Amino acid sequence: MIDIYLDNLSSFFDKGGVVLYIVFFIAIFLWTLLLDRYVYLYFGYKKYRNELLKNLKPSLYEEKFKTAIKEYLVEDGKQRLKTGLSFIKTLIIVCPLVGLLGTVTGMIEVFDVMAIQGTSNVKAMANGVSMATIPTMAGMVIALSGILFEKRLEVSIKYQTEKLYLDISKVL
Amino acid sequence: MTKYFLIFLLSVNSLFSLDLNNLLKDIQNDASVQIKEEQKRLNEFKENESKQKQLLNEAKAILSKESKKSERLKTTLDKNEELLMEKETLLNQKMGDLGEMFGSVRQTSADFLTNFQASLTASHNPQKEEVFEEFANSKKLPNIKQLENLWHGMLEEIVRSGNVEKYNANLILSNGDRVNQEVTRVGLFSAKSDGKYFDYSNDMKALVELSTQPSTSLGSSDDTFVIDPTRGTLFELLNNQPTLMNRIQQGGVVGYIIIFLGVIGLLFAFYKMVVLNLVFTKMKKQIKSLDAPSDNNPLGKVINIFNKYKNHDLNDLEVKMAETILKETNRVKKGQSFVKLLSAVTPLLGLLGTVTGMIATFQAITLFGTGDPKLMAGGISTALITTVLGLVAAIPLLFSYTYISSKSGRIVSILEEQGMGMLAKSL
Repeated sequence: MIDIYLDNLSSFFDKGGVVLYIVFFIAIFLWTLLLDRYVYLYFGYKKYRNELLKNLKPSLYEEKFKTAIKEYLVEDGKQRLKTGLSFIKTLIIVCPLVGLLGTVTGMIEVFDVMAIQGTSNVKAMANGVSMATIPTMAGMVIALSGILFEKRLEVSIKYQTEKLYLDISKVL
Repeated sequence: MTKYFLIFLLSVNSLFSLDLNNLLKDIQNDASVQIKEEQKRLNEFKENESKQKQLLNEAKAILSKESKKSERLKTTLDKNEELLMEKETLLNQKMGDLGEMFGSVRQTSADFLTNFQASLTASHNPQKEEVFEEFANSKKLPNIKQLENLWHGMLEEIVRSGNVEKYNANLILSNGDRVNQEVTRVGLFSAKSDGKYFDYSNDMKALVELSTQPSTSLGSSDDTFVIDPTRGTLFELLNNQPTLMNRIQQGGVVGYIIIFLGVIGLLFAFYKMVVLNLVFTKMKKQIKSLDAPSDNNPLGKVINIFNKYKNHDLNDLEVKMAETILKETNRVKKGQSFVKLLSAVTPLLGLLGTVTGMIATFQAITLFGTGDPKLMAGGISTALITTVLGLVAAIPLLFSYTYISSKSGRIVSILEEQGMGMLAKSL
């Protein structure tokens, strides 16, 4: 059963050409980064926040700098949450671009075949056409799936930052 | 004057009249002589008449004899022709199915000749072509020896086409030199000598070096051998495959502009990355030792200002710090938008190339119609290649812009939001 799926997958990659491998690589990269962010949001960050709030005492700092310190702490937390987020965004932008690159290289393949064999041999051109369309589709799918979770992540980060600000304000 | 002239005329006149008198005398003499001669000849003819008659009779006798002989010969010819007809029918009867066989021998050898002329084995033994040629073009019936020759030639050809062989053959190298050296041949598929692949040319009666050799990824080293199962067609197609340089040339002016912008952008981005990383590491070091500010990084400068004004009024301190931070932020963020601009412009230029390429294509269509796709190929490749170049330039630029902007964002946020808080916390 698994063999069939593996076979399908390998023939899918064969049809897509080199660009599909680039899309695949970007997809793995993107999802690893997204996964890392979610894991951090739900485990690492929680730990960091609890420790910060535990150690925070109102008598620790000079009165006149309190606003600045509050801002600093919130910004620090935000920085921790946002690490790599801009890279994720770039990957999402790049995905359709790479797909487009696949379209164009596929079309070049098609026109190469046309230049050598003329327009009569449609089967020979089909290879180039699948090289043109499959990476585009894959790029779109990856970008769409990425963008959903990335937006969700941004919302969570905003919520967490505001919550942190309120929590710190309560203590200081 | 007139006197002399008259004298001249008179003298000429007297001379002329003298001449005419002489002429008359001469003619009269000649006539009498001729008449005498004619008379003499006439007498001679009369004497010969009887002799002529005898000659005529002799000639008539010979004619009758010869015509008799001709009749005799004609009958012989007719007889012989009849005999020939008889013999020919006899021959046809005796030949029977063999006539068909000779026809098929001729056809087979002609077919075999065309195959042989195009195949690599011809380089092994070029004089063998004559064996096949003999039948293809002759009208004579072959004898048993010639048939055996053909049979053995074909068998040898079949055996050779299945063998891997090494032998000496005439080669024409890419620089035009004719040499005779050892060649390795795999069946009818490929021939290789000295690491180069060859194809047989019947016009040159030699192996000709391929102008485009199979790439090294296919293995043109000595221990690997590339086999072309289409007997040279694929090797020929290699010539049509454009190289990377050809592709770039197809991009035209727009392509070169994109490459130029891409290279400039990447170099600048790389420089920017190095500078930002240096600044960032210095700041990291500074964060660890907040009480020993140095002037070689933005954070150190901010700390200096903070230390200088920390006992002043809070508003005063904030204004002074904001001023320093603004100055440093500007320096850090400088040039960042240039990279972003380039990453946005290169795909646009690619699109421009696409459109100009399509314009060229449609011009070709208006001039030559859509019949020959090869005429449109130039414009289409410009269109596609510029798009590819645009994307290939934009994607790394986009990544480097992200890197630069996140790095500088980090630096700025440390300076702006965190600067004051961090310092206040450390007090």
